[in-house]
Amino acid sequence: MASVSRRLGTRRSARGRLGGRLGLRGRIGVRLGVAFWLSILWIALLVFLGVFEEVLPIRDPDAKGIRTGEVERFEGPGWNAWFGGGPQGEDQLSRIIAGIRPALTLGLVVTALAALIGSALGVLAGYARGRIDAVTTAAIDVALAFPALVLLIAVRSTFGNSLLVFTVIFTITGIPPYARIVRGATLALAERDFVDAARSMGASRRRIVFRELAPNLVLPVLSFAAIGFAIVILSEGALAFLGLSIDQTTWGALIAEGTGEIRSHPHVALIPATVMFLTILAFNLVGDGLRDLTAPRVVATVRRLEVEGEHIDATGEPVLHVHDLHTTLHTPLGHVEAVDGVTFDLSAGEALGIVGESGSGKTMVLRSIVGAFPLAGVTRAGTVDVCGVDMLRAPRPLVQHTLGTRIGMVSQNPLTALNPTRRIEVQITEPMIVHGGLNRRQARDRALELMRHVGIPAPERRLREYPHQLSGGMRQRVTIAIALANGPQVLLADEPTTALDVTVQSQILELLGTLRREDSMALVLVTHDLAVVRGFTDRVAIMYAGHIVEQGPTEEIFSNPQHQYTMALMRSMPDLDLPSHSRLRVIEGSPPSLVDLPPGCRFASRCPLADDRCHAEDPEPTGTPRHGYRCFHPGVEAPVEVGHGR
Amino acid sequence: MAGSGRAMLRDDAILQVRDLVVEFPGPRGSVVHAVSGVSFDLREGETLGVVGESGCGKTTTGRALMQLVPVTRGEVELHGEELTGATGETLRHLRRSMQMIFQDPVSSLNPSRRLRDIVREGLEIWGDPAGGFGDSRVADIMVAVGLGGDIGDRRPHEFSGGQCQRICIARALVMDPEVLILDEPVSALDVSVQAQILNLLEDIKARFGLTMLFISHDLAVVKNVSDRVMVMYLGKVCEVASPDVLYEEPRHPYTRALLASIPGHRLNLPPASELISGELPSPLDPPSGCRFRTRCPRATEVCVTEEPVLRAVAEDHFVACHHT
Repeated sequence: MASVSRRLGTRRSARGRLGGRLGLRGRIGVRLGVAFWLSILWIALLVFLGVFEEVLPIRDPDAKGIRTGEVERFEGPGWNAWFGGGPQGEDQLSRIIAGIRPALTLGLVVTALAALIGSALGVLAGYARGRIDAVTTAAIDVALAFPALVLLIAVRSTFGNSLLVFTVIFTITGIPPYARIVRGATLALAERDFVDAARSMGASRRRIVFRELAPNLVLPVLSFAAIGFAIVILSEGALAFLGLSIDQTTWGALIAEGTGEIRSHPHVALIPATVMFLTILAFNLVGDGLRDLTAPRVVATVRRLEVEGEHIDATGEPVLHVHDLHTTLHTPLGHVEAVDGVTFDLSAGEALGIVGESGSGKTMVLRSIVGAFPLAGVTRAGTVDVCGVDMLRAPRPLVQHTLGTRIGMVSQNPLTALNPTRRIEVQITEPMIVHGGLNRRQARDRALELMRHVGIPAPERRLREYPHQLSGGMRQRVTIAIALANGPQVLLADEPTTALDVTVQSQILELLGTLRREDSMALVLVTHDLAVVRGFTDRVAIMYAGHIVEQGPTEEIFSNPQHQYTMALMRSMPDLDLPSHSRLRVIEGSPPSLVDLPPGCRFASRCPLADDRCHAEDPEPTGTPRHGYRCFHPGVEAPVEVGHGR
Repeated sequence: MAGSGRAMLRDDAILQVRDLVVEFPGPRGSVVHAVSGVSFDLREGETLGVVGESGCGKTTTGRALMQLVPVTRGEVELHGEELTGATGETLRHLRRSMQMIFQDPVSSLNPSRRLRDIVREGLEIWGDPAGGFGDSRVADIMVAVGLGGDIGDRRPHEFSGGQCQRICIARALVMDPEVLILDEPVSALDVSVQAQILNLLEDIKARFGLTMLFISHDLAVVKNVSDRVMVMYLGKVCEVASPDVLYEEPRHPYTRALLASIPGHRLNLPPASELISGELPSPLDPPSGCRFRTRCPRATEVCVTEEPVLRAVAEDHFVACHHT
């Protein structure tokens, strides 16, 4: 049901997700690569040779060397005949060039017709839905199951084996795959809000199909067509091999002809086979390149996890010690310093809130602690200690054991955090069996105890269920129970309540608070919502563009904020205590992109108090160890903008 | 909870919704009761905030107004003209005076089109209502929503979420609508950007004389923008009042639970855990009588058998509960 998927939410493209989080906007330069351009060059060469076949200075492909004496039978490749001679002394080069035209004509006509007809059917089925969709889909399924080869043999015996007959048959059998992929793409597009927006504006159906849907289908269809083109050429070759070829010189026919002599004169079959192979490869590579254009991926430029810098020991005995942590992501757009000099300590039973907007690096801090990243090229520098274990430099088994036994993770979306195909019991007992050394029975008892602990009613029944049978709040309770399985000292919660309703949110926050007190667990609560940290954390760190810009006791941050960003963030939140229609004081602009950060304070471009120094010099952390900040104008009330009062 | 009833309808409203019912086919022949007999109205220049949790039917209500989902029963009248059941050309024309802003601004923009074409779309469909001055009007609107500079050639992915929402608002304004339906317009935005868009909405409302239906799960946001607030639960209306009254003296048990759940609130309410228990019932099989009774601390026998109807408890304050 549409409204359900809408509620579940934030459908975004892969690019939107990672790129958006890193603040990478604008064009992501998609490099098509050398292979793509070499393929284009090869295809262009074929087209050129095919078009100008008659005027090229080559021998007549039908001239037989046994009569003209110019080329000998099975002559090897050389200066006289570059690709050697055929069974009757034909110039193989000429014949291969003669084979270009039928290959390209067949490929082009078949692909164009099949793509057009198939796309039209696919759009019709995907957009109209209902009965039209059912009928079209059934027709596609039948057509896909139809034995094309049998059809070809039957038709061929009646209508002969002209290029036309092949074109018609290839087209008919080529339509269903296009119809199928276009239908799928249309169904996905029609779910997007921009189609609803166009409908709301009174756009006609025709307009929606041609102006809204079609432009988004062109690239996927082209990409598929390039591969379809290759399939057509390959099919012709295969048929020729079976002796079902067109009545012209084709590559397939040349290969079939040469296979008899493959031992004595391999070049007769191998050279046309190579040409055909290269052509098919070229079309496939072009198709892949076009597909990458439609769904660009943020790919790491370096594929390794690196660690730099020195380990700095903690003073005292914090359970979590993070000192001068720098995390750099190596993306195609450049090196992104997602976490830039983050320092904090957390004692047993203490709760730290990390607050920031998208791209501030708050989630990346958690990822840096556990060493899990969304892309492969990451360098970490600085210190992360969990219960005294150096998470950056310790041997891998020790790090894994520490992750399994000392750290619990709770993520934003409980539905994706749980495996949809496995029962709750398996998911909750597995870490206890792997890391805790319990047997199945002990693990099950412990699971029941944990589920009662996190407030799940009827835990025996829930253990046998699958994630989709649980409500959002119950699922999040299950992920918390899993996180608690091995009695961790540190619980890392990344936006644990953002996907939940407000009444459920307060239950989950209360639960986290209780667990922390009862089990004296340290808690890191990452959120975009300032209100969430109030009342549920002891200290708050405010992050902006990779920096912790302010850090201190929660109540003090709320009552006496120092950094201009913190102050502005608090002012801009709609306040329940203010009367309705109160003018909100805004922070102009949006958070900066982490690529090519300007010098100076990262908030300077949006700060009403920024002066020359703020734009030139990055403020170092100042204040007290209890309450620190990076700001040249700490605590100064920004002037109220004029002319906007109501 | 609550209930049906039309006690809060007024005579001078431009948009009237009466007993709106939206049902979807569910699995194995069952029926999803998304909206079950909701009535409300909008006066000219008024903003009605619709608030509730997921599954309360607030989004479906907005989409049903736009006729983006089929209405099972009930009436939606704009200036006395019936919108439900309209199809084809009639519907195309009726939709012009209402426009919708969606939650995900990125998904609301066609990724393969340029900003200029996206914003001009309304003019291309309908021609310029002012006759010939289309481009200057588009330029005015772009400035009004804060999209300055030479950006017409760019495509949606080159803009941030906040800018995309401004583009969506500009596109809707070009249609010169009377009513703007906003479905969670700031939920996908960063905190610092939310305030920009909320202020912008207040500005354009005044400048273009708009009437708004503002749908959100965020009680603080709804309070800020609304002239009247309607609280929904499981397809029914619980309570309707002006925001200052509603937040000061919530009367419906669900409204009280909702407000008490806001982290860090300073309202005079007991803890949320004392006001609400259990889980949201399935919309496939909603409870008899009051739909909130399964989670309500005050529920009694009458709540099981009888559905409470909205009634006035004070001037311009309506509650659907047997126990207030």
